[in-house]
Amino acid sequence: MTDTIDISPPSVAQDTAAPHAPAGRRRRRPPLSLLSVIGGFLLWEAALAVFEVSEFALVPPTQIIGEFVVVIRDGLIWEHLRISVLAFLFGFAVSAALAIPLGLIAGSSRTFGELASPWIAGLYATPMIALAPLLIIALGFGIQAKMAVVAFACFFPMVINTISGVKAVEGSLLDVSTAFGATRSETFRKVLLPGSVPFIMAGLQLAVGRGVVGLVVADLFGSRAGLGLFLLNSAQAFNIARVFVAALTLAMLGVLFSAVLRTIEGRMLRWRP
Amino acid sequence: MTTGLWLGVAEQAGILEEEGLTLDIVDFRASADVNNGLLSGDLDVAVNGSGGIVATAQGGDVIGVGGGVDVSVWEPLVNTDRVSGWDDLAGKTVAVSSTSGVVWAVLGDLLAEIGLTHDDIDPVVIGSTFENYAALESGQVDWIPGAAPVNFIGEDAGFGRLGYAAPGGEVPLFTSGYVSTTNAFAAENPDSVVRFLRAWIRTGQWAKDPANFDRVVEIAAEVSEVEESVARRSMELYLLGDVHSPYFLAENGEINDESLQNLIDSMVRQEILEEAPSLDEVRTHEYARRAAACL
Repeated sequence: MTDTIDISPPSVAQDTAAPHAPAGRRRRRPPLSLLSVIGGFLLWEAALAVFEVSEFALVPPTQIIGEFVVVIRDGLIWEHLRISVLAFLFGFAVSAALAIPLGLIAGSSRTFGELASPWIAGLYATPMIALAPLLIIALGFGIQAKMAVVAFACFFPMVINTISGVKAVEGSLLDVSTAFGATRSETFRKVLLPGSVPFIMAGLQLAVGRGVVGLVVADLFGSRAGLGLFLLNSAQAFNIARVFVAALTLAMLGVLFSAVLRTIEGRMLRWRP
Repeated sequence: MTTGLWLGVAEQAGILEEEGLTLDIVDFRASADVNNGLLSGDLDVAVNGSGGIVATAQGGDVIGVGGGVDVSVWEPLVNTDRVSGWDDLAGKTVAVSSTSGVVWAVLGDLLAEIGLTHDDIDPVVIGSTFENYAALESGQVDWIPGAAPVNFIGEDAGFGRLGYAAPGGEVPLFTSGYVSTTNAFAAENPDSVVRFLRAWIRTGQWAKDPANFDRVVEIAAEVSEVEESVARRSMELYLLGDVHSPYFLAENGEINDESLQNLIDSMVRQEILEEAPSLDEVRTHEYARRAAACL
């Protein structure tokens, strides 16, 4: 019978957690994400030094860093990077401009939601790789086709999350809005839209990963430049370190775009308690 | 038809069975994928384009053991509304499979004959020859480097064939396809490699026998899924023609050293390879000679 319940107020609990912290200063947390990445690369390097792994399957991080230096020094990656970043940004923006309004309407209108639902579910389940060649035939091998593939890839996480966001807005808030005589437009602007922002932002975050994959898929079916092509060419030339350079550059783009979105999300959701 | 067809011919002519070979044949879309299969140990022997040279140059355990095609088989197949001849290729959009393989190297040498370089054309990397042809058909590109049967299919569809060399030039001797394996597999299974090459040499002899020509055409049409007239023209080119036939499925089963050296030199010249591997690093005649000796 020694169970105890902490009945101290939260402020007291916080104070006791950091008894010696000077007033006005927070204890800095170690950068766990960075440590995780560095630790992972060190393990990778060490494992390859210990175990015999074919250099056509895996190369050590030090070799990849060396190859990074070469592709940057010789200017081998800039055009590919420029095209891919542009395609991603435009494709992502077009997708957001279409998916978020559509999701808001589909989420708030039952009739429209039911009409759109089979299309959204069906197209979401359609492998992007099956549709990419059609987009390329229609739009050519320029940046437009890449943008279209990225837009298609990003569209569904955005629209599905937006619909979920609208549906997740608390009924009591809508009741209050109605009780205070808000018009449908006011309810939409002041309750549904802000209420669904966390879901919309989560959808955008999910879309980043799919968009980066879309960049590579678009390059598989015909390309003059792009990180997917850079990756493909490196693989065909059996330059494994360069394959990793391409893959890591794509991954870093994804991380960067996600970080930007998190910053925007933080600013947009300041109103939240 | 330069590579994949001949195992089908060997099978249908009963040569594989006579040699006691039961093969598990796997089709691949790209030469690099075949070499990945060899490097991973999943494939024992490959009949494919000479991309293995690039793998070898990068330190991969891939070695050519038997001759396949030792002459360039590519010619510009053009949309005649947009390209009128060799001199008109500059600035035009061309679909290619990669910018790091044998076709890219051949293309560089063919363009050099008319005073052009890779920088003078507008390449789009698409995929296999058939995928490149689809891009030509849909009007996405102005021309492709086409090899039989695609160039004959294109010719029937109204596209123009510019020939295997520029006017006044010679068809380059390039190793465009060969039989390869890994040194590790060959060292452990020398008799298997020899037996495979014996079947391979016999297939070449059988296919080049005029008495079997109609049967070869029939098999080619079936295996490559093309019309009989296309298969016939392709086989005439490869098996009867003066230009290609002498460098196709060599009687002695060996890779032609001159063609191989030409390809390596071209790849270095065009910066596909940083350094030229020696012939001994990329091919061996040992197994082909043993196979020929016991025919």
